Amino acid sequence: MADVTLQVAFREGEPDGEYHRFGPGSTISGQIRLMPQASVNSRRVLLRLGWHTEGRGTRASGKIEEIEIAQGSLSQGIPLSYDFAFRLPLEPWSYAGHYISIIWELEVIVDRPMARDINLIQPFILALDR
Amino acid sequence: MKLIANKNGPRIGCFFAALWNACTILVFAALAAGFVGDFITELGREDPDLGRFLAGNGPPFLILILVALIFLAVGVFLLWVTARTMIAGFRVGTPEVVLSKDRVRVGESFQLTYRQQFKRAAEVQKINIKFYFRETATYQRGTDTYTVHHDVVHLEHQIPGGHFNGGQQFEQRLALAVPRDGMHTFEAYRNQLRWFVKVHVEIAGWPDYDHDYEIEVVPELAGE
Repeated sequence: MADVTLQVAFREGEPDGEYHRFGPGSTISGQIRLMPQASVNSRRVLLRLGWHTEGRGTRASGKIEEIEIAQGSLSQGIPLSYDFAFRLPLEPWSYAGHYISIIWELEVIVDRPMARDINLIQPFILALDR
Repeated sequence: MKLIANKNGPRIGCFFAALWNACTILVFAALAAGFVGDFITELGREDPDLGRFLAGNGPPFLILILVALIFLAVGVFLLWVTARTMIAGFRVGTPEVVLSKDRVRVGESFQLTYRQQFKRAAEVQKINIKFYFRETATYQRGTDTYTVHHDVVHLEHQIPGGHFNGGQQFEQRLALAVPRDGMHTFEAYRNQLRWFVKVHVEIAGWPDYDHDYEIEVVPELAGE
């Protein structure tokens, strides 16, 4: 059981199945919410935007943005929220094929010293409306 | 208009590479023979009886000759294969693939012109042109590296063969389109998504001409 509940809420984008779709070159924005159920000894909280490949091939990845949204420990019962907005690149588009898939995601990472990080990965689709 | 490739350069390069390999094999075989000879001489100095036995007509000497013959046979085979390919290249001339657009976008139609000059008379059995999308994934298992492909053919066009005289030119125009729900060209570490036109020409009595021409599809949607 994680000590922190993490949530990502998108402001824009079109719902596409279970994910949100954003156009290449558009802005992805929303809010990150952290709800510590207990005090957490953390160094910082990071927000990372990027893509990676999945499937048969060795994983390839690209990091587009990484920002520090909080520093220091998280206190029990004190929620934290952060509004974000990133300009998305024009490529690569999200893709699901036979051997290769390209997955876009936002990742929230609670970086803890001498302990396993707590993270939330929120995938989304980077594609044109076709 | 965009010329995306012609084929004679790589073919000649391939021939010289194979010739080089054959020469390397011959030189290596000669060096190996010299090395073994020196080794036998050295052994002979240390043990005259053993040296006399090895330098004679016993089994080790025959094995050495057999190994040298195998090396020679590989070299001759490589030369024969590449010479045939090279001669086929002289016969069918320089193929050209020309696209009607400099950049191809997702969902866009374009025209492909395949042009081939016949330098000498040739009996073409068939010409097959295929437009396809290829996924290429490379992965490691243990110490071995594997590469797998998955092709999705979007258009296949078969042209009946015929007799072509020396100096005659064959030209074929094809209307192609990247599907609107298709993917752009993507290249990352060990993961590739690419579009190709494969040209396969079967010539009676000669090796098939087989080549893939890559078409770069940019991450833009046509008509936007």
